[in-house]
Amino acid sequence: MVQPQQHLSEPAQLFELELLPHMASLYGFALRLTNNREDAADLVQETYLKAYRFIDRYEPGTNPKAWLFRILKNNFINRYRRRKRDPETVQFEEIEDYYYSLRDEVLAETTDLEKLMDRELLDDELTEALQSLPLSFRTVVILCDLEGFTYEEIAHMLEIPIGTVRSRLHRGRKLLRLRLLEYARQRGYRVDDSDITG
Amino acid sequence: MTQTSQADLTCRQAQELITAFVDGMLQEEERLLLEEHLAGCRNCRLELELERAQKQYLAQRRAPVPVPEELEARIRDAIGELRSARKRSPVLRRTWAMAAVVAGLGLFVAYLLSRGPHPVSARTMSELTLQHFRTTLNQQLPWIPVSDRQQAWQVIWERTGWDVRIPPIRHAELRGVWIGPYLPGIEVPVLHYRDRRNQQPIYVFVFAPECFERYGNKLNLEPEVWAHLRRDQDFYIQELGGRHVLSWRWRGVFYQAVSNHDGRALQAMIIPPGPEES
Ligand SMILES: [Zn+2]
Repeated sequence: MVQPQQHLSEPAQLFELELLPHMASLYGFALRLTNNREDAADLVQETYLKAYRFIDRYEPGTNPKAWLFRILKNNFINRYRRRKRDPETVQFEEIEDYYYSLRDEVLAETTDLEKLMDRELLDDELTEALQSLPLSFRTVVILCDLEGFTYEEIAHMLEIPIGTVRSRLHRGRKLLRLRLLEYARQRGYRVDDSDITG
Repeated sequence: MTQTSQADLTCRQAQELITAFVDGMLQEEERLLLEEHLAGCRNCRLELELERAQKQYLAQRRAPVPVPEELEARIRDAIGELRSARKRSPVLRRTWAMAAVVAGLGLFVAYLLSRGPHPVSARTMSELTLQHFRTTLNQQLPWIPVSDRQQAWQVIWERTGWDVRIPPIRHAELRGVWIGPYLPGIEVPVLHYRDRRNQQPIYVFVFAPECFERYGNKLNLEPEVWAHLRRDQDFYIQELGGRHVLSWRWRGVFYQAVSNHDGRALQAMIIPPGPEES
């Protein structure tokens, strides 16, 4: 039974009911961004403190998760941007040929794309692959593909036009795909034989 | 790469569309163009399938990571502290306020000096903004250096809790933010830009809606200015003593910019939100 929470003041109630339930997703996002558990926990705590301090800025009825993610993303950029060097921005055009030859090499061995994407890729490898993307691409890929936000929500969080979300996502996914294909090649994709009974 | 002659799109263009297609975010017209290309291009059909598989794969990885056990307790503790600190001393709600007050003394004194015998309310907002431009902003002020809009947003957000759009200004770079007293008791952020072409400063004063809710009568904004500003693209230029004060309003936030530029030239440099942004 859920007890009516009449003893809570309104902001506290808002905080409990609308903001705190997103802690796990926030932590997940922070971890993807920082790749470090302590930094991620600090970021989440800082985000909630700010959200609480400025809870009167939150408009009830709008997406609280998007609001929290936006605060966290801004904190992250401010705190970590100067500390770590961002991977260099690579134009996809520069690596296009490499991408296609890698793709065709891997696809010559397996045509089961789901297995190709799925197979034995460790969470660490995915994290590593994500970390290799420039921050602006990484953020969009995480927000869209891992967190399931819409283009509109991402545009609002990052303060960029929807067209920019789309093009960053396109390039980010392509670069990520390149990494994933590299992992697939490294592992050897000819595991299908042993798997045939399963 | 396989380039088909019958399709209008190049493979590069088609693949950019594939991203939005997979997310169901393509306009009808673009979708038809893409489908036409896909029908004749095996290369892009492969990319579409890979993009789908990748998206699906990542969606499966969406499972929440285990959150450190003590994190929720830590957050609750920190908030409990914040709450009791507020109860003890509501004035201390924002510790930065102290620093800002000290920093702002210069401005305030300048303001008092410039005020002369006139009552506060006699001065319109545009006049006061111009006054600050001529006196206060010429002094040494503790600007917080920022180099882009993101940082400026962060500074303002952290110190005031205002979520405001930082104006992008063509040919100008952001230099700093200062939050100081605009009128006694009313602190507002001022953004400092510099025109790269002639090194001239541009200052933008930012007023959140609450400024008007709380101090509307003190702020004394000319009604015709407000009435004129309905859409993001609307600007109001006032000429006062050989200078121009430019006003506009985005998402309920009111801005005033002042510089040595001609008002129309300055207006042309300020980029309103695009249709996707609002
Ligand atoms: Zn094609």
